[in-house]
Amino acid sequence: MRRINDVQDYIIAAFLLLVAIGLMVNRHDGGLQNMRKVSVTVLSFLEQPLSQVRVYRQAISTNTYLHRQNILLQDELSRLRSAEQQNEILRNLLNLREQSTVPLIPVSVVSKDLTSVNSSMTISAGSADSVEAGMPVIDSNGLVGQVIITDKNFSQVLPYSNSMFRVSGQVENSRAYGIVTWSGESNHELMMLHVPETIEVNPGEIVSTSSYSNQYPPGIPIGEVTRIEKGQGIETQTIYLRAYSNLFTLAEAFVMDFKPDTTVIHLNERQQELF
Amino acid sequence: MRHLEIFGATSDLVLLFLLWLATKKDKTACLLYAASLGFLQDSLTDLWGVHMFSKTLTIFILHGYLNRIKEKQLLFWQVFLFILMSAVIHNGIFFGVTLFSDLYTAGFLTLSILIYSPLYTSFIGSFLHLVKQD
Repeated sequence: MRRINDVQDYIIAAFLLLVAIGLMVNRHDGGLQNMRKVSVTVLSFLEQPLSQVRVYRQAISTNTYLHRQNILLQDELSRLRSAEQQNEILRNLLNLREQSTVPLIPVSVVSKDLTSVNSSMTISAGSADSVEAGMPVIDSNGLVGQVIITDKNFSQVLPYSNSMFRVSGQVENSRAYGIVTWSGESNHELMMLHVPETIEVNPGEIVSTSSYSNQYPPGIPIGEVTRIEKGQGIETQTIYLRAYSNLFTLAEAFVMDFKPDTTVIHLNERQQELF
Repeated sequence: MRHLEIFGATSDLVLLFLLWLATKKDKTACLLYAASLGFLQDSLTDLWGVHMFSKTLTIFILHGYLNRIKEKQLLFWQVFLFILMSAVIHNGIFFGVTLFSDLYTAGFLTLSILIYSPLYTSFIGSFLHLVKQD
């Protein structure tokens, strides 16, 4: 009898372990995506009261920071006003199109989990606020991440400190292009890959989103170059960046109402059909 | 549970509950509890399948041993060591699964997962063992 029970336990354990493996493998499939949406909603309601405490604590330090920034901005504003006039004249001379501005949706961070193996954030805007999966999330310092799941009133964001995060970046001075991803070593450190060794990049240079990406509008600051490592046996270098946006102190952010250009998507599809 | 974080370490109260449950219920029931609670934990942490797998396997491994020692009166440090060993086994499986599946980045949390969190769980578990009433 005991032997039969043992066999039964083995079968149940094997079955449950297979179910667990199935969940891991199919976590991005349709059925599980709906369950993820439900769990995001439930967790957001549970976490919302706690986020108020975080917002209050953040407000005190933000106040001091804003005082300092206000003085600097007043000075910068006066210089920008004169620059704007000059810019207008030059634009007219060059007959350039007015640069389109992307509408911003203000959001507050309802919950965030940055110290686990799968860092994520939940924000207080969803499909009811026109937020869609794929939209970039920024704060006043730079890129924060990308919306991956949306529900009616909440959305889940893939922050830059997640191994799944990728963005096409461009170094300010050399205009070198590469793929920016998380280094996996520190929450503030990113790395830029696929930059040829022949292009000189120096610490202190700014990296922002490039115009090659159809996922993010160009020019969003990502971070600052801290060090460069030459690749061994390959002809590219790895550029390490310190991200501008601080995810740990982040309490409020903006979702950019940016949608990928469908023409580019169709062109890519047609190219893939050809080859 | 993640709001009770100390220096990046979190205590696994679900694992403590399952270890306690393993001294009260038969293996089949414990496996089903482990899988259900693991699934619930996965749904709240967006780690689909990882907790479910590690908790089911941990209970499968430890249930027999827990039943052999449940009649003995254990000292505080013995309880602490047993929970520490269980938490290390559980977190070791958890760490292995995350690395093997290549879905999450656990590399930078190695010390936290394998050392600090089991220690924290053991402290909480030993304390609960001291104050519990049979």
